[in-house]
Amino acid sequence: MGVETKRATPTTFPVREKRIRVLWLILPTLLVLGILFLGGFFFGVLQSFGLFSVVVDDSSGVSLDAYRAALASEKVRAGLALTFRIAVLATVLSTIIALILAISISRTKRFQKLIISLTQFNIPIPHVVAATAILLTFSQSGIISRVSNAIGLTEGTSDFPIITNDPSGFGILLSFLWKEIPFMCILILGALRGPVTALDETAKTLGASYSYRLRKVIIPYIFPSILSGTIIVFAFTFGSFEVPFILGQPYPPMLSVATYEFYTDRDLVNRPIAMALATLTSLSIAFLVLIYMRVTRRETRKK
Amino acid sequence: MSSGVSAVNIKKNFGDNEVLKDINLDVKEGELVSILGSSGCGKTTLLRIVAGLEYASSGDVYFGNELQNNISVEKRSIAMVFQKALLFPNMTIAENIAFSLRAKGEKVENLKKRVDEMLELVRLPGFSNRRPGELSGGQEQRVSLARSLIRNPKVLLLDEPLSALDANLRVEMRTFIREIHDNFKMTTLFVTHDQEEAMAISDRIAFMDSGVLEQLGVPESFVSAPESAKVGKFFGCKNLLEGKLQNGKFTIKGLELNTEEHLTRSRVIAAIRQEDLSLSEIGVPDSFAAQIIDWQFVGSRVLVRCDVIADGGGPTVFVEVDRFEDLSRSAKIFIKYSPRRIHLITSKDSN
Repeated sequence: MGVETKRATPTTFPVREKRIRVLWLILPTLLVLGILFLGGFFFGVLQSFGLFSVVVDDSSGVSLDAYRAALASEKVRAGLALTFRIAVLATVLSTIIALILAISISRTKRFQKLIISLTQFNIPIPHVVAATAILLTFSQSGIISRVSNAIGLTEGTSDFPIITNDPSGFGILLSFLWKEIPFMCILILGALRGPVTALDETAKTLGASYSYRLRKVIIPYIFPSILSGTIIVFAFTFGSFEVPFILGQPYPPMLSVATYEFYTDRDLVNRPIAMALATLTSLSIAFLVLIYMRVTRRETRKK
Repeated sequence: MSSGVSAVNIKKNFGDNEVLKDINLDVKEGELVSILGSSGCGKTTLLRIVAGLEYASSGDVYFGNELQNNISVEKRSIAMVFQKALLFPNMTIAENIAFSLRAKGEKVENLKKRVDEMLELVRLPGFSNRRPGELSGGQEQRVSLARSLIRNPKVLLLDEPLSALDANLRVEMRTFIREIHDNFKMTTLFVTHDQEEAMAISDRIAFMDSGVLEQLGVPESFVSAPESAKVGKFFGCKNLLEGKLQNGKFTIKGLELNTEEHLTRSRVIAAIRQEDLSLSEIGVPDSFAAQIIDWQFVGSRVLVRCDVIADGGGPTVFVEVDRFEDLSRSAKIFIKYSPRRIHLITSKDSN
């Protein structure tokens, strides 16, 4: 008589059980995000509508006064213009410079790894460190100013040109470029190593010159990757706080700094204005993230 | 006007790995030669060297009498079709086909007629305004072919263009490629790992193994007269028996076969195709006794494994028979052979 054996079957979970399992696994992260970020954001939105105010009687219900006051403020308008200008400049310049850099690197055969390492070394450095480094290097009391003074190029530190904490936001722009060019470069290099190499080879065998291939094949193909990168850079530079806080001038402040100033103002009436500005900034960035997601989804579908 | 292609003493190393070992390949003008071999044998590398996409570590590539070594890929008179169609996704089908001419500076309005002609040729009329994503795999490969042919290149290079297609479409496409080749009379190098495809399409086949060109010849020669055991094995010969040849008689482990050779060799490989053998219940001239071990279906026929009956145990021999033949395991039978169908390999492996 043969021995009956029971074959082991792999454990399977129904879809609903699987979802519950996944939910349990990500619950700690969800709790932290929910309480610290979404909770804070939700509370901020309520405050921007005049609710939960620390000084004003909010029994009259929802009000758009904070938004009206924010948009009417000269400081906010000037800050918004400066923020927009710096974010656009940082995005456009970092994209163009990174594209040129990435294309040059991809065509370099010798020492390519070394060149990539050199161009990417500052990626892990935090923005606050980068901003501080630029302040210490380029401010009127910074290293270059002192060296130029010591060797007689300038007469006193005040003779050194104002690069940081300047009205045009040059120092802020410099800091953003220092950080965002390598970021964009690594993104574009990644795209240049993808399926576009096979398309480029095909175009080569069809007799197309490099400049023609670049215009007609390479850049159109990697454009979605470039676009998603530019959206990330714009969203970051638009909402960045620490860099303009360290390198910006007192007036006009960039939007994030203006928001902080309204929030920490001795007059607590200004706090809903800070919340209104924070809400508007968050919504603008959320809108950009939405575009980014659509672009990446379309790119994935296409490939 | 096409030209022949010559690869002379081509060697290629990737680091310490020698992927091409002194390849000499001469393709005549207007000829279609398949470079055949299993994955990693170096066939695609050789094609890429001919195209100019890779440079040989040493050796020369000629188109006709013109040395190509220092001519960049963009300037070589070639067109290449890859395993994937690699159509430019940002362009319409018409723009894809016209790509090489537009890259040369020809104006768009002058190209419409030629693009339409190419679409007619690849049997896709009216596809001008479609996008690559709207086409099937076979249609994409046809467009890729049209895009290559519009340049009127001297040499057409095809790098496994059918391997991404399903079986039925592959058969249709290989016939189509042959027709196109015959129309244009263009020198064509066709890389494939599929021996059936190579046999069907080629004027000659160049068989490669581990970076070595093992055999170059007409398709029939690979079946009837393999130059090495490797070639015989790749082309499905099941009986590659290593033995001695004495005055035209091939001997191995007590088995003696008559051949048409009148030579003596201490070591020789007899390549006997399984379909050239037959089973018989009675012993006849040019037959030997064997015992059926087992069999398996190969398509519509049956491959029978037999042990030759000899003192001390004879070799194993495979016979391919009709599937309706009456077979029983362990039965004693006779295997009939034809001396003129025994191909003796005396070079390469046997030396």
